[in-house]
Amino acid sequence: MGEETTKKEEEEFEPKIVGFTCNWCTYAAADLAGTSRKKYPPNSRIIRLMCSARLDPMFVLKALLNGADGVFFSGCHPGECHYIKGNYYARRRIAAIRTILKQLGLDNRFKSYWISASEGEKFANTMKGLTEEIKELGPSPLRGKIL
Amino acid sequence: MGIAVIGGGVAGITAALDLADSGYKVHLIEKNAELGGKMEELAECQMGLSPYIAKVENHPNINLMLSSELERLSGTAGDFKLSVSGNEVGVESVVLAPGYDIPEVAKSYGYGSPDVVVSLDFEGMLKAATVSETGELVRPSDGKRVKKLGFIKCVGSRCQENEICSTACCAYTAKEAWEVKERFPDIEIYIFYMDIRVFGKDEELVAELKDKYGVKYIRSRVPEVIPEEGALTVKFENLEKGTIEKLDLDMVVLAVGLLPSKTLSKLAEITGVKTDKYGYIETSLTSPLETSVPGILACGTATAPMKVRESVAQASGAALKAAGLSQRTEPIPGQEEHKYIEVGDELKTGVFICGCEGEIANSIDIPAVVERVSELKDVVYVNSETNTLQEAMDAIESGIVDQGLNRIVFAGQSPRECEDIVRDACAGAGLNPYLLEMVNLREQCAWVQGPKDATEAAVDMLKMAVERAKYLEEIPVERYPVIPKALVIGGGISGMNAALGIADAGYEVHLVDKGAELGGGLRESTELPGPGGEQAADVLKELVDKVTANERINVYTKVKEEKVVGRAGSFKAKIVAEGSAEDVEIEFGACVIATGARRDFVPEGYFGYGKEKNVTTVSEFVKMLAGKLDANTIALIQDVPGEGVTARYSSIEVVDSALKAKEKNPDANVFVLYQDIKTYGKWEVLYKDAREKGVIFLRYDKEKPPKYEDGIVSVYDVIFNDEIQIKPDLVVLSTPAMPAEANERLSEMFRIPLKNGFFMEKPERPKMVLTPVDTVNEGVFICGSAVYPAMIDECLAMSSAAASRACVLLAKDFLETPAMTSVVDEEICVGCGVCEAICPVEAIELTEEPVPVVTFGVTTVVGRTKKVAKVGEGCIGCGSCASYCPSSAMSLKYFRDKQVYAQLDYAV
Repeated sequence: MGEETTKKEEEEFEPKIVGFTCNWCTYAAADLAGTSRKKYPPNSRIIRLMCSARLDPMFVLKALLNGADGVFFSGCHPGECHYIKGNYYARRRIAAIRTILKQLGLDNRFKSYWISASEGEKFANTMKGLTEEIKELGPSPLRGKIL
Repeated sequence: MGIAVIGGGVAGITAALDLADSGYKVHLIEKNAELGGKMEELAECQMGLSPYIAKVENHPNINLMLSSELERLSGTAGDFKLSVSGNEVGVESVVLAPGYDIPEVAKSYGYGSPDVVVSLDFEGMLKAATVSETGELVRPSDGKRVKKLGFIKCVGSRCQENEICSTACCAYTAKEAWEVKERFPDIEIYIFYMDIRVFGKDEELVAELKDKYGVKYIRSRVPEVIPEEGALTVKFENLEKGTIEKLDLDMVVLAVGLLPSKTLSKLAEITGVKTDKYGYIETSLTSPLETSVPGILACGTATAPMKVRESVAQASGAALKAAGLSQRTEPIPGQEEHKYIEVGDELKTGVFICGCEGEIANSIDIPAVVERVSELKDVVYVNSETNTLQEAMDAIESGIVDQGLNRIVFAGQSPRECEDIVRDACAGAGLNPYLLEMVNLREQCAWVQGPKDATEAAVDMLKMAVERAKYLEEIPVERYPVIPKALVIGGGISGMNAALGIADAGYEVHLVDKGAELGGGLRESTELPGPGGEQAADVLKELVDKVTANERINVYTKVKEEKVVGRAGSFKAKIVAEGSAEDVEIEFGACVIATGARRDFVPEGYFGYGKEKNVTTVSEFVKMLAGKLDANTIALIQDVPGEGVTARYSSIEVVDSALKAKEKNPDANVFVLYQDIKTYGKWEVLYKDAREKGVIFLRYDKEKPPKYEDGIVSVYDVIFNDEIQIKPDLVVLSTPAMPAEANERLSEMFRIPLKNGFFMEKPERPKMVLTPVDTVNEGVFICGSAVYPAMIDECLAMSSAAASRACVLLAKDFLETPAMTSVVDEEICVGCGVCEAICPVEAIELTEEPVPVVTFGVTTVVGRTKKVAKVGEGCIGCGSCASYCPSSAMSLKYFRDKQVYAQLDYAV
């Protein structure tokens, strides 16, 4: 944040978002957004997994505990998984994660999407929308408290 | 010597890679300064093709000659001398893949008005809309948002100047319409067309456009588009009312056809290959890849207009044929056995930031990033001097060798493009290639964020990578020998052609068929479509003779294959003969599935078929044409409902047999009742001929199918707008094609998904078909009518392609076990079986293992056992088991929990 003044930082809350994407669909969509120079906010850090099935609920919890203001997951559209049915497994996990997060009051900070490799546009728009949404929610209550 | 591939579009790239990957020297000659051809103009295709381009550019066996043209060719097959932009090149065979060009559009469709654009330019506009400020699709003339968009199909094809059909336009128009609707749902879309010539998946897309997206398909040849006062008035005939109507649109896209590349005539002159009357390289129904000059092969849109799927199949097929004339001279990449250095406990991380020819350096303050990354613990070396991938690879290699680096972080273009190349560089320098972490600095940072944000993001991304790199571990990769044999399932034309292709390349082939004789579906056919009058029996006999005479092919008939185990390069199966107790056990490295399609759908009861003697099917009718035809009025009914799919040859067969009947008996009244005549490509000429010779075509709507009562066919003709009654002596039904019975069993055995009973190719992201014969199960290939019922030339090209892909695999001496697979910590595993239940490929088994007991430091095994999960050879590395395991006993290598946590610690 070098030159920016602390005041400005206070004014504009810049959320930190962590995203998990599968290698074959959403990661490729993010690449396509790049190839078509589709700008989007710089708030998200993407972690590439080979398949959405690798999404462990612990990853989401850990990200939130680390103080992420938002976490998202995105994989291939249902029925289009590179590994046959990994995204169906992911869908079940997501439902489970939501139940846990609800108990903690954090469920509105976790989003999930299906974005295919040809939807670069959708990826960029999703990043825009997500950043706005998290901005409105404000900083995570866990920010700076744990670790 | 080697092989020259002329044309660096998708076909040329495919051919070059198949050849180079199997150890042939390739000279890839492209007239432009960049690879990619027309695909580069299509956003999505560019995305899909870019990893292939990166591979070509970095392939040791490919001599890339950009901005080069063939000037002279002399010599004969096995010894050609080429002069390419002043350089002399000697090769044994040549593959021509010059691609296509679009026709000059006449002014008649309002072309010249800025709001009337051709489809390739429209792709450019869609791309421009993506990067524009508003993201809207706007009219070129006044910058206003487009609200009503029209597509006019068959511009510059199926017309006087170019009488054939361009094949690809129906599907690409549907795709463009879909993209517009997905991105701008408010835009109304009108598509003017003559016939919708799509098959399989594209058929579904068109149905979806009509039903779900509300796209209006209007059947009418548009006479003119009048640009006037900010609107484009399209005049068309409303077939339902029989009136001429007008529609005002904001913008019109002309779906222009495909013509042979402008360079083709010169190329033909230089090489001496014959061209047909449309200017395409002349090939034939039974040898779709061979030109008139031995040793020169042709593929892709240089032989006929076609889609990407068919182009790349032809390209692989042509590569196989070219390889057959050449000698392997080069080592196959990735075959050398690597000795990896011992990585000690001390972390020595090297960070390499590639400038990507300014693409990264333009948005990211690299010196600032370097400064901050250098401060990170364990980073002992940072290099930001390189500008191209090649330079970066050299730097990485010397970093490993000279500086003793044992963790590599590479930041540059997307790992989807270059991960394999960077891994090879690490391995080449003696570092286990899984001690590499990639940072996507170009696509996901420099190109999408403003300069200041990009620099900050880059630092974060690098920190995440450096931290993750700490936890990377050496993944031992075992090499196993490839069994240089293939199994081909199905002894039809595709299977036999594939078997011959593989055998001619020098490998042993097991060819199995469930029937008593080779020949498959074609044995039922007589004369092949087209004016050539070739007999199916002759084509088959030639193939069967070649197969039986070939010493490398073992033919098994009346058998089925069972119990397939193993993985790419090393499979085992049993061949079980009908009624015999003795099984044959075979081993093979690759498998080609060519089970074909079934044509025995019986339209029982439809039009009284089965009861009435004068109601028959097209295949029976074709046989009747060989004899005396005494029928004066014949009605051929296309699109008879039933289970199965509409074969690609379905319309061709109907039109061809109608034409032949008319020629045989010029006085006969021949009617064809249809919904869409799908005589794609050069087959369109048959349709034209048939109409000229007096075959009467009557189009009916799906909702109002023809009826047959008391010997009278009544059909509501949408052009006359009235019911027409025909009293035929003979009714001929064109029935759907069905998948082979064995498909379901094979699908389960080889774990390849089916669609409507036919085998599915490996899904690609983005959705395009660059590997039409590859499947999700590496080492198993599909071809011919087992994928989709297709014409003979397509089956031949595709089976050559499958053989080519199989040979790429068989050419290797060794394969490496996949690295990213799951492993079990047996001590922790409680044998609950969750992983076994969810593994999508059934690669996990629970086994009973003895429990070791450690007493005073001595391990003993007592009688007690417990259930433990075992990961088998089939693991595809999806990681389902790792994230589902309740006791964390299961982990996915390279994506272990601690590795992901490390990233997470620096992500926020």
